[in-house]
Amino acid sequence: MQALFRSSLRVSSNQASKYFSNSLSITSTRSVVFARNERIKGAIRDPEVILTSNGVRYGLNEENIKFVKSFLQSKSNGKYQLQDSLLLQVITHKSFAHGTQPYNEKLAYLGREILELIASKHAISQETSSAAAINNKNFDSLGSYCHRMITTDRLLTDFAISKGLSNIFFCRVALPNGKESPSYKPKGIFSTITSSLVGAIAAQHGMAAAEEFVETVVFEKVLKSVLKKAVNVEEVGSHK
Amino acid sequence: MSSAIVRLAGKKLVRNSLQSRNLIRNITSSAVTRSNNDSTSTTTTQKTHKFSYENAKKPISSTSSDLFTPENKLEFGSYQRKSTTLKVPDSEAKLIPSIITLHARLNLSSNYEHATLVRALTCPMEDNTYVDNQQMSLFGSSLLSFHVTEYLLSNYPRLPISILKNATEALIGDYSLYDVAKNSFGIEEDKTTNLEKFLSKEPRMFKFGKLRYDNFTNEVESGITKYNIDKPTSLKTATAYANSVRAIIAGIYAHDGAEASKQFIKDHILSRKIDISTMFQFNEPGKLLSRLLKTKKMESPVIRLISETGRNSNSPVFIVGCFSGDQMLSEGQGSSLKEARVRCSVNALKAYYLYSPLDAKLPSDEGFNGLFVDEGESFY
Amino acid sequence: MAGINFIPQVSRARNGIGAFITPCKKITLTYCNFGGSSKGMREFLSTRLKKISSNYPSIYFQVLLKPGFHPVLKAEYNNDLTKQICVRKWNVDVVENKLKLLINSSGKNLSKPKSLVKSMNSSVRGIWSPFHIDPNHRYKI
Repeated sequence: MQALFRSSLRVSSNQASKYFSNSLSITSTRSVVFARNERIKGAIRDPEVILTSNGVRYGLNEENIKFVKSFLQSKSNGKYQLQDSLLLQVITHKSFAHGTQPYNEKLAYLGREILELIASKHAISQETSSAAAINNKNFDSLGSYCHRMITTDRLLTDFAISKGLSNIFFCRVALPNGKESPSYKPKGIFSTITSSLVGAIAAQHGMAAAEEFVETVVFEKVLKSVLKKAVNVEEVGSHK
Repeated sequence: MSSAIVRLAGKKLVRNSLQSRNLIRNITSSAVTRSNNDSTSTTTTQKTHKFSYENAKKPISSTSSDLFTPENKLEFGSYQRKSTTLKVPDSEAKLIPSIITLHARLNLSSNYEHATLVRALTCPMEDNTYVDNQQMSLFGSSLLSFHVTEYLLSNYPRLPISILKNATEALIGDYSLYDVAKNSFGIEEDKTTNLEKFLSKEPRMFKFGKLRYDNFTNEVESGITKYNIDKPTSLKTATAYANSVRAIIAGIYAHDGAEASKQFIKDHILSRKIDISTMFQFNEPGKLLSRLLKTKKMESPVIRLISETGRNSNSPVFIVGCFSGDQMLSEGQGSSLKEARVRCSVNALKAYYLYSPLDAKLPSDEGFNGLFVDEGESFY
Repeated sequence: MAGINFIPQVSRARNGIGAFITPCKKITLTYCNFGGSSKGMREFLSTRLKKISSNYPSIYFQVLLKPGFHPVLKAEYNNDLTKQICVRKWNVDVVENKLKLLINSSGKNLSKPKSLVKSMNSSVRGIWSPFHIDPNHRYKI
């Protein structure tokens, strides 16, 4: 037990000195033991370990939110700027620190609804000469492959990575074998950066601002990748 | 052809067991896919969600061969359905009594064409060449789910995401919209056969005033073993009715704009009664409460007895309160101490989750000034 | 969150909050061209129906000729129920009143209300509790 303590456990609280100076006089008072490296059953993880993601310590400071903040400032003269606490919430996934820190699930949920709606609005408001159009709005493209692709997790993740929003992202990504890898970016988790950013803009500046942001900033990149992906799919299809 | 074989096989097998029924269903589905492959249409497995309002937004896979796609994939205006070419003209739609009355009872504006209502009541069917509501209902469902989500998020910012989705489902799920369509809007479905229509001398156009869809039935009547092979277009009754409501709302967006559709949703959907407080089911309320207070950095909960009567009788009443430090979070009553304690914890949790700001403005409202953003609840 | 399950629910209509939709959707008026019992009905159809039907655009008025039968007003409602009133021998004013009765009806079957107030909402004031007053002032057995 002693060996275990010295190797992988850090003993906090006041009893620590007692343990090591005189191992025989262990008192019966309860002490908190934090496990640092590998998981040990029954031991509580060290908060320092939990609150660190990819070597970045969680906390509300300029260093952590600089990527998202500078990105928003560069668009429309900083029209979409958000509070620092909200920005930190945007780049925190619920997998981080057992969800004890404010996380972006609800913002992402709202943002995804907005993205889906605006993608549909974008599709039906294109110029059309179709006979089936209602008041010059052609619904026929909705649900098609390209229309659905606009709001897929993959493209939203690509957007977040290309704009550098995911450089600092607080999440806990576990591979199936239990190991963590910084290069593994699951799209289900990383797409929440984009969608929650949209949700946060809607929550702070209203739907009109969010709509403008999506159409001018997000779709600018996403529609290009839709075009690229759609061509690829066609080529693959023709080979078959 | 294949259906006859299946029906014969079904007659023998259906008495045996549930397992054999599944077998038959597998046979039928394989038969369907085989025939589809012959006609060069791809069938992809679609992800089905837990909630019907999410299913209403899922992609359309069967139309890949049906849809004309332009050279530039992003010219969404040039997409065109190949199979649905005919359209009931507005002048003829204005002669259908049920369409005129539906237009009046929904208080639609004069911009709203009667032909759009006809289209909204036409679900995709086999061998149907008239324009249908498939894509309209898709747009309507994303419009509905956005407006309902923003309403719930603004008014109940702390709802857990599962309850939020459940409340959305309660408002705009298939069963709710079925009730809206059938019992509020008074939409009727077209059940009569062509022969009955002919015999009753009903004008040809009148069928367009009713909801038309391929009915999804897999019921087995007593005495008759009947297996309908599902068509790719067949819908359940509730889904068909719900899609008509979604399509009507999409039509309002197309004719009168976003503001009118928002007002319509507010009047007809958000005005309906849901009771969110009865949607919760807590497994261990005491444990959840102490975890919640821990993450909010409050003192751990203490349950104290406030008042009691008849402890030794057969109908005692205990009133207990849940305290965090000096603050009383909630109160609970019960006929035993344990019951009162559990009720008390549940009340404290509900008081937290059902927090509702006064006069919350929605993000799409005029003069909106920020939303209360919840931190999300911690879990283990 | 772990530990919180949800219970499915379906929303309930509150007609009149937000939008009001007339529960009556179709009225069928039958008459006979010769029968004396249809006299009031015939007069109603020729003089008054046009004005009333234009006041209620949300209701589908259907006029049917049924030779040899008494005149009947039959109303269909949103909840799939129908109400019929036979207006044989009634004069034109009574026919109009009966028609308005059908139009304004909710379509529900008539029943004796068990309580004076019927509401989906719980009481705003709450239930009076004897446990929340000073024990000194409580009623002592």
